[in-house]
Amino acid sequence: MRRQGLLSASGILLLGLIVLMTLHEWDNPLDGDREAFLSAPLIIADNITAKAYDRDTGKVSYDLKAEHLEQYQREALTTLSAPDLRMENENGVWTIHSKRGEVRDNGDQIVFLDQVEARSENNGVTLSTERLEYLNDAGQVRSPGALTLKHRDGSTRAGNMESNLTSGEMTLGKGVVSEFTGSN
Amino acid sequence: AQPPGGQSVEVSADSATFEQSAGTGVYRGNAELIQGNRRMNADVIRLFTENNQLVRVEATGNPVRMREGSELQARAKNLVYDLKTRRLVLTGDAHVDHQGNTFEGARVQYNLDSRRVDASSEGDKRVRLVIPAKNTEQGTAPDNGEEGAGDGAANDNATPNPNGTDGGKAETP
Repeated sequence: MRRQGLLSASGILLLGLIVLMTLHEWDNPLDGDREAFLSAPLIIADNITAKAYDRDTGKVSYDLKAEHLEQYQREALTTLSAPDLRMENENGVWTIHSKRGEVRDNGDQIVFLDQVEARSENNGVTLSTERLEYLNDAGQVRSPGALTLKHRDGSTRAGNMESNLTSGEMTLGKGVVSEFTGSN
Repeated sequence: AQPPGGQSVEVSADSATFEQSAGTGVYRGNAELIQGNRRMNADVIRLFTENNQLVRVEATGNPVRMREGSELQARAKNLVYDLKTRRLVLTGDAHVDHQGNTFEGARVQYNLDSRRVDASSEGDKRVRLVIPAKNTEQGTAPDNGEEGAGDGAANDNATPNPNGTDGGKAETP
């Protein structure tokens, strides 16, 4: 009788151990798999169109198109290929295009990277730079680095730029050189 | 089409602010304007455009300095350059050295085409004109002094208004 009791006790112990190991494995997959899972894009999409609306007026504040989109949950980041933005307010229409882009803060900040071209439909001013940040809520566009503006009567180079889309005021810094060659 | 006044204009400064709707640009900090051999240095240079063309420049400084080759040197607290009428208006301790002659007054106006100088007084700031002896010997013949009537000859012998009353105007005959 004692032998039988012993067998059954060790059997239970063994079974319990197996269950514990299985549960442990289930709850904590191998670290490699976990990292792969977390760093994988949550969403992948092609030829996307996204619109943002002004909370107060309900009007479209911007209309964003891109060839390819990948959204990453952990970094709260969305990367774009060939983003094309169009925004309109009482000061007119601006369009921005670049090779790459990033969307952060739930769509409030859009960063355009790599051969960025922005253009004002009203006065024909075009802006070229390598990085341009669009802050939707603040109604601001800024370029932290060097940029070139082409306007109808010439061109302007500067070390950085900040533009308030509501007031229509653009401030250039870190050295500004404008050349007026006459309207073309 | 070239900007009024012929050559292209280059403006540089530490920073600048553009007002899209007003068509103005304000350049601040070591501001400099270059047009051909004309050079202006100021603290602030304000540009005004019309139909996308630069038409007017307003500069302020302590003082604003303007040079055109070796012929003209001017300084004042404020300087307005009208590219269309090709005229400079200097106000606030205005001082113009032109071909050796010196004009001082509350307000001095200089026409870039006819080279005519008009200096006028204001309050206690009277007009002062200095013509070095060398220039008087040459006896530059003054013409009738109507605006723009000059045929391009150098006519910068201004005759100060004798009574020098307020608003007295020493016009270049």
